[in-house]
Amino acid sequence: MTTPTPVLKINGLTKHYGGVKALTDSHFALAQGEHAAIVGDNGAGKSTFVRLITGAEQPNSGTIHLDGQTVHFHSPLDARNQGIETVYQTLALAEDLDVPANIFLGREEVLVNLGPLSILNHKAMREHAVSLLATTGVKIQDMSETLRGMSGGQRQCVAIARAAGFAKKMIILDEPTAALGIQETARVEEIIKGLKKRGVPLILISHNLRQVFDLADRIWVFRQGRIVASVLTSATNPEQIVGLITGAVNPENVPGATDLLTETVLG
Amino acid sequence: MKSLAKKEWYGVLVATLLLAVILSIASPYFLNARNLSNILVQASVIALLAGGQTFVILTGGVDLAVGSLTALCGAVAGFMMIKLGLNPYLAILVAIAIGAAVGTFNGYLVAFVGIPSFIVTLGGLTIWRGLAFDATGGFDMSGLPAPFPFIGYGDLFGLIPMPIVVMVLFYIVMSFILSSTKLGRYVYAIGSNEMGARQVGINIRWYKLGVYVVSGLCCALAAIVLIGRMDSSSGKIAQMFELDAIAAVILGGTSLFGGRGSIIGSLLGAILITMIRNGMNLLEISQFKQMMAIGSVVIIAVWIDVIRRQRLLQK
Amino acid sequence: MNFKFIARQLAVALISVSLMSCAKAEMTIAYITNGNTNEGWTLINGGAKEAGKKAGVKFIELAAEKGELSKQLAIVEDMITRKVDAIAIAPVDSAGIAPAVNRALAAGIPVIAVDTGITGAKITSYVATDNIKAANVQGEWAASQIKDGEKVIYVTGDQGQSTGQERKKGFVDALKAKLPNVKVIEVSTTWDQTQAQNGVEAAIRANSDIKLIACAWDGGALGAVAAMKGAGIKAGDIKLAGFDGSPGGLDMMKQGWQQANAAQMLAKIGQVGVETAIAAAKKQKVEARIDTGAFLVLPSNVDKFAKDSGVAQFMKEK
Repeated sequence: MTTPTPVLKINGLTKHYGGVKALTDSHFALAQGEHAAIVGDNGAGKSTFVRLITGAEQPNSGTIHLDGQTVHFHSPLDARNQGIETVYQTLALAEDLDVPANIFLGREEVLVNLGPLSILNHKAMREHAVSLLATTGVKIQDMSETLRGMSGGQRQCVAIARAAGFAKKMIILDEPTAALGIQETARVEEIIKGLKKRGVPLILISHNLRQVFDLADRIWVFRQGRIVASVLTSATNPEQIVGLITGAVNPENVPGATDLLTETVLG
Repeated sequence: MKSLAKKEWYGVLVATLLLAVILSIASPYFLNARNLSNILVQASVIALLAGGQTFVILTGGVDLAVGSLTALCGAVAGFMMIKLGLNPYLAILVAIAIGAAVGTFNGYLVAFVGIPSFIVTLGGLTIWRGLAFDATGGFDMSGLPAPFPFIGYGDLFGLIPMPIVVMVLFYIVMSFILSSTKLGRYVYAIGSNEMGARQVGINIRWYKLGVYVVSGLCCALAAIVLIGRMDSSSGKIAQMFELDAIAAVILGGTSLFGGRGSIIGSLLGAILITMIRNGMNLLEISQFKQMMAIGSVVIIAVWIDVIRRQRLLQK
Repeated sequence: MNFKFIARQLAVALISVSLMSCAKAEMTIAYITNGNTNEGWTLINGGAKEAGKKAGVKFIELAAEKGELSKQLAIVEDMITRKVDAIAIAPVDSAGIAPAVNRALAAGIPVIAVDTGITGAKITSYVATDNIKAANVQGEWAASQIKDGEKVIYVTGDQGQSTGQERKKGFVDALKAKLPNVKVIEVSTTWDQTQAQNGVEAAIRANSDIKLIACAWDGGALGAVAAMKGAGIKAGDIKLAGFDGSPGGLDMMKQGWQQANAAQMLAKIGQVGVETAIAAAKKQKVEARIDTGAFLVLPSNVDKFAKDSGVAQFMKEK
């Protein structure tokens, strides 16, 4: 086999809450440099899936492999330390701190390590923040301004830049433009396209099919607690995806849609 | 100038200077080195408490027990020196240990158990006051050994009153901690967005516990200066100091909702409150009017904070 | 706006104000109370104010908010800055106020302690009721009411305080001097009315032949009356001697419960305190300890005393 190892490979992931089958026997793969979109109705299992791969919850069964290594995430921090950066809808930004402080929040660069009283290296963090924002294409006029003075789009960009800057393996974006206007959405989408050019692997959770088709290489369809289809964006169309989401289209009838939905033994 | 006006403490600076000008005109006794030095000395204890309180309020909490805890630290230290003949430096260590222990207790209940800080410290308000009386048998202890008289009303190099020296050093340290350490940064982060701070992996429980320990330590320090200043100690000292300390922090531009504010503002706030009292004393205004004035100032400060917050949220 | 102009105006205003205050070389007396607002202190403060008005001095009355020592300290410091000519002070705490008082004395400002003494400072004078002498009056009256060998109850004040100790000593000494075999049953309290009530109840139950009850303060007498009522004793069956001359005490007398009261001259304490401060400011020699005396109030003179002392305004029974 010459196919490169996927960044993320998931086999048979299952999570049941008592009798509620939130997610059953799900298989998933994210290739190097790939941008994948996750779509599905509310309650289709998307959120559970994201919680499991970000360590917020632990699966009943199934395995997660990151760069070919089997991993277990005990907490979101654990998942992050192992290379998965997540941008939550709530953004996890401190509105009263400035941009460099937010980018380095929780992983400050220090001059002297004294535990909680570790002395911060303001200069280094500022410089790194500037270069990080530049590579992500995020423009911030006044770095010393707090986020309170910024728009939702700017905040989203800061959060994405932070994730991109620290992601060792991949990024997960949860509804990044749900709360934004048209112009701001466009700006955030530009940033995401920039990440694609840089080859940063990414999972996008979105209800916006126009956006999904614009940004994603591959679309994964969730339905009733299962992953039912995986199709290349170039080989499908919005009508078909809507059909898969609602169940009007049978995945068996879509060429290649179920090819990746089986167990893969990794070499 | 624009950037100065944007600082949280700009308002209190203007208010303090304005009041100073008004008092200079209204009373011939106000504007002289002696009185200004008096104001700083009188502000010192409140300023020390306000320093710790700033940390707590920045995280979105409040510490109502600082007056009582100051009394506990001071009364026990005094009791050990006067009644038990303990070495004064050891008594200082005991006061600090009590401050840290009570701070840890408060912080544990708030951060790990999840009881609102308002309730924990409201209960503490009477617990620590009661313990202060109980532990010392309700005695008044006077005539403290060195170095207390020096700390309380001595002058460094025969020039600067010691309480001012302590206050200035304290604010330099606190200001550094808040601006340039992880603790300071996380204090703001927790106050801005507690859930977000948790999501980025900050151990918010320990840091929240930490701010109550900081506040407890500040109480111990305030107690040392206060009993030195009175050259005596008892369980009834520092009545209602929490009000002045919280007022100083809020006047200083720190938001009661957390996340926004500065330590320098709290220092200016403590000076402003003391200056109001000093001015009213010099202008011979009665205690009842003074009580009304201080209460009004507190409400106005919070009022301004609420308006400022609404403006920010509208953005 | 012309900043220089404003600055000049301010400077002119400042200078003229300070010149004005220099020109008026009137005497300024600071009267600093402990912030207590009960009836007794209202009378003391009233006497002080009256004395200030009568002498025509500038009279500054300030109080330690909520009886907080550090605030009283600050007031004393502010009054030193204010360059007052003398300070009359009712200290919140006898010892704790000493550092500030010593500073005032060092600045050449005489300090008079009113009602409560000051330890740790060589104050100019201490004006207050001599508790032993006042309690002697109470004890002598008690001796005239009973026979030797009979039983009396004495409700004490806090025996950890000099006031409580002195009042008990004064009463017992005077009583025993006349009637050496009288039996004094002590009810100990820490100035707490409920303790007094419970203690007297128990003492009456244990001793059926109590002739007289004396109390270290009128609050204790109120407790004693409650205990007597509870035991079904009628007014006057057991004689009762109060101490303080408080409105409540004199009310009890008008209702027939109290037969005597060793009254402190509350208004006089304030008045003499301020008069002494004025005298000291004028560099006159003043006594280090001034007793404002006590007055034995009896049913025959209660109305006149109430009116003269100003206590009447607070009484229920007119």
